Amino acid sequence: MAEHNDEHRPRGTVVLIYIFLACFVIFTYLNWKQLSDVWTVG
Amino acid sequence: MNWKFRVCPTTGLKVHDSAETLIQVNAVTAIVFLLVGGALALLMVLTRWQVVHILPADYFYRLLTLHGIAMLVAWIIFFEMAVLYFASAVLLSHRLAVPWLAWTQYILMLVGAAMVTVMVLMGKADVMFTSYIPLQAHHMYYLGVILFAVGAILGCIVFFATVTSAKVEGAYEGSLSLVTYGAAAAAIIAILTLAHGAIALIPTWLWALGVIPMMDPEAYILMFWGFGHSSQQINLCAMIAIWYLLGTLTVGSKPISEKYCRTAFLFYILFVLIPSEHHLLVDPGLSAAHKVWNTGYFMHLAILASMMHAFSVPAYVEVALRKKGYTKGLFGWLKEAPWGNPAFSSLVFSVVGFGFLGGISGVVYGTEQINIISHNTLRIPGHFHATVVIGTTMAFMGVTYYVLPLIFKREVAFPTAARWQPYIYGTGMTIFSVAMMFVGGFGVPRRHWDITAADAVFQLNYGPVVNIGLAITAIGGILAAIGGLMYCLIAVATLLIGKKIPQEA
Amino acid sequence: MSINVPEKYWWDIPLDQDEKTWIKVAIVWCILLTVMMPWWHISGNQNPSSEFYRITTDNFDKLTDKFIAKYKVGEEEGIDVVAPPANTDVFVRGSQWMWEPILKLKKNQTYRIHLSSVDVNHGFSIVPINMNFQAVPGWDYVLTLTPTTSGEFHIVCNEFCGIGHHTMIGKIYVE
Repeated sequence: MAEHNDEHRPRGTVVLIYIFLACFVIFTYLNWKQLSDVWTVG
Repeated sequence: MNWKFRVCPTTGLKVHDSAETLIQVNAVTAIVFLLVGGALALLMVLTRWQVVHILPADYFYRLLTLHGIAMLVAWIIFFEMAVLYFASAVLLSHRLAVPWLAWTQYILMLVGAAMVTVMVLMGKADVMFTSYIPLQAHHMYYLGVILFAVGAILGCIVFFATVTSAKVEGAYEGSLSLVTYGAAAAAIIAILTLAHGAIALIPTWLWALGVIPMMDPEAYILMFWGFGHSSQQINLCAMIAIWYLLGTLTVGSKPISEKYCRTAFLFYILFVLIPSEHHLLVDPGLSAAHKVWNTGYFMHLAILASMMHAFSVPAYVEVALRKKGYTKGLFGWLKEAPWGNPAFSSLVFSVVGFGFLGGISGVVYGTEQINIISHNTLRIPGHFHATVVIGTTMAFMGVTYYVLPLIFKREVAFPTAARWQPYIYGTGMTIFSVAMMFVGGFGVPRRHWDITAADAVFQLNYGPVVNIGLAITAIGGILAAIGGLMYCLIAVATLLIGKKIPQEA
Repeated sequence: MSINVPEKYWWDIPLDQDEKTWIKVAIVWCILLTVMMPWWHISGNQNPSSEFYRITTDNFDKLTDKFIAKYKVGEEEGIDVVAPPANTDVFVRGSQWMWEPILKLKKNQTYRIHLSSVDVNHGFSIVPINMNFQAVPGWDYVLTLTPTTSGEFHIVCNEFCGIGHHTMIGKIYVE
C-alpha cells in the first residue's frame, strides 16, 4: 500500500467509529445504572 | 467431462449453469418464505398493538411460531445456501461440485420447511421457535426441523467440495478471496451449529415418538441454543462477507489489510459459538464462574472481531471513494456516495443498524447481571430484529439487486421503487427495534398475547408510556412490512417481466 | 477487490496505523466489559444465583404445599396468601397457568426463594420492577432476594407455556 497517502486515509471513519464507541459506553453505563436500581438478589 | 459455463458480461466471471440454477431456486424459495413471514409479522405487530389486538390468543401463538420459522430459519438459510454457492462456484469461476448433492440439499430443506409449516398451521406444534420441552409438538414437526438441518449441512459440504476442487484443478492460486473466506467461516460455524441441533432435536423427536424418555429440560435449553443462537453466527459471517462484497460491487472498495479482516473472521470461528450460553444466564444449572467465563471472556473476543469489522467495512468504502477524488473534509466522501443505489443504501443500513442497535444491545443484554433486567422481555426481540432483520436481511436484500442481473440475467424492474425500498424498510425496522427495546426496558414480556391480562385473576397495567411504545413499534412494523413487500414485488416482477440482459454464448 | 484472490504474502503486510489503534482501543473496551461481571459479583447487589438443586416435580410440589400450609394467612381470588418470616425458605411454584402462592414480604428483609415449575418451563418476571428468572421443571433455583421497595407487585410468566400463558399472573405484596 505504498500509494496510501494522507488524503486517502479513512479519517471520517475514524471519527464515526469513536462515535460508535461512545454510544456503546453510554448504553452500557445506562444499563448497569438501571440494574443497580432493582431489588437485591444473589 | 463437459460443464456448461457462460461469461457474465458485467463482471467477467464464469458462471456454471448448475450453480446458476441452484442459486436461483434457493433464492426464490427464500423470498417466498420472506413474503409469508412478512405477512405474519404484520399480524404480530397488529396484535401486540394493544388497541388493535387483531388475532385471538391461539392464532397469535401459532402464527408467532411460524413467523420465527419462516424468517429466522427458512428465509435466511435458503438465502445462505444461495450465498454459499455464489461465493464458491461463481466467485471462483469454477463448476459447482456434486450438483446432485446440492439438489438433495434443496429438496431436504424444502420438505423439512413444508413439514414444519403444515404441522404448525394444523395447530400441532404451538411450541414457539424454541420448542422448549416438556411442551411437546407433533413428532413430524421435529422431523421437519431435522431434515431441514441435514439439508443445510449438505449445502455446506457442497460449498467445501467446490472450493477444494477449484483449488485442486487450479481455478485460483494462493488464498481464497475475502468474500469466499468469510463464506467459508460461515460454513464452518454452520456445521458446528447443526451438530448442536442434532443433539437437541433428535432425542426430542424420539421422545415425541415415544421411543425414549424425555431429556432434561435444562440440557435441552443448553443444546437448543447451541443451535438456535449459534445459527445466528452463520448469519453474522454471511452478512459480513456480503458487506465486503457490496463494498466492492457498489464503490469498488478493496481490503486495506487482508490480515486484519481475516483475523477477525478467524476470531468468530474460534470464539463466537461458546457465548450462545448467554441464553442460560438467569437459569439454574450453571455456576456464575462458568457463565462469566463463557459469556465474558469468550463473548468479548468475538465482540472484538465485530468491532474490527465495524471499522474496516466503512473504512474501505471511504478509502475507495477518496481514491475517486472525493477527498473534501472529513465526510465529503459520504456526500458523494451512491445513495441512489439500493445495494449501497442497504449496506449502510445494515452496517449502522447491526452495529449501533443490534450489536451494542446484544453485548449489553448478554452480560450476566444485566440479563436479569432483559431475559424474555421485549428487549430481546428488539435486539435480534436489529441484528437479523436490519443487519442480515438488509444485507441479503442489498445483494439481491446484484444477483438479479448477474444470476437471473434480468434488469431490476421498477428502479425507482427499488431506490426507495431500503429507506422505507430500514426506517421502519429501526423504529420497530428501538421502540421494542425501549418498551422491553419496562419489563414487558415477549411472546405474550395480552399484557393487560384481561382474562387472568389479576390485571396488569404497564402505563401509558408502554402503550405508546407498543403503538410506535407497530407503526415501525407496518412501515417495514411495506418495504418488505416492495422488495418481494420488485424481485418477483424482475423475474417475470424484467428486461433480459443479452448474454454471450 | 474483496472478490479477488489477495496478493501473495498478504500476511506479511503490516496493518494500517488506524487499524492498529482501533484494535488496541477495542481490546481495552472488551477487557472492561469482561471485568465488570466479576466486579459486580464482588461489589454489586444484583447477581444471578449460583445455588440450585435437582428435584423431582413431585417433591417440589409437596414442599410448596407444606410451605403454604405452614405460613398461610388468607386467600385471594382462590389463591393462598402466605406471610413467611424473614430468612426462611420460600417456595414459588409455577404451573399451567398460575403462580402459587401469593407472597407477603417485608421490605429490606431477605428471603430464600425456591423457584421451580411442576410442568413446563415458565418465566418468573417481577413487574414493574423488571427482574426475570427462568423456572425449569426438575430444577430448584434458589434466589436470595431482598425487596428494597414496598407496594404491590405482579409475577408475570414470560416464557411461553401453552395457550393460557398470558393468564398466568401471580402477586407479591411488600410492606
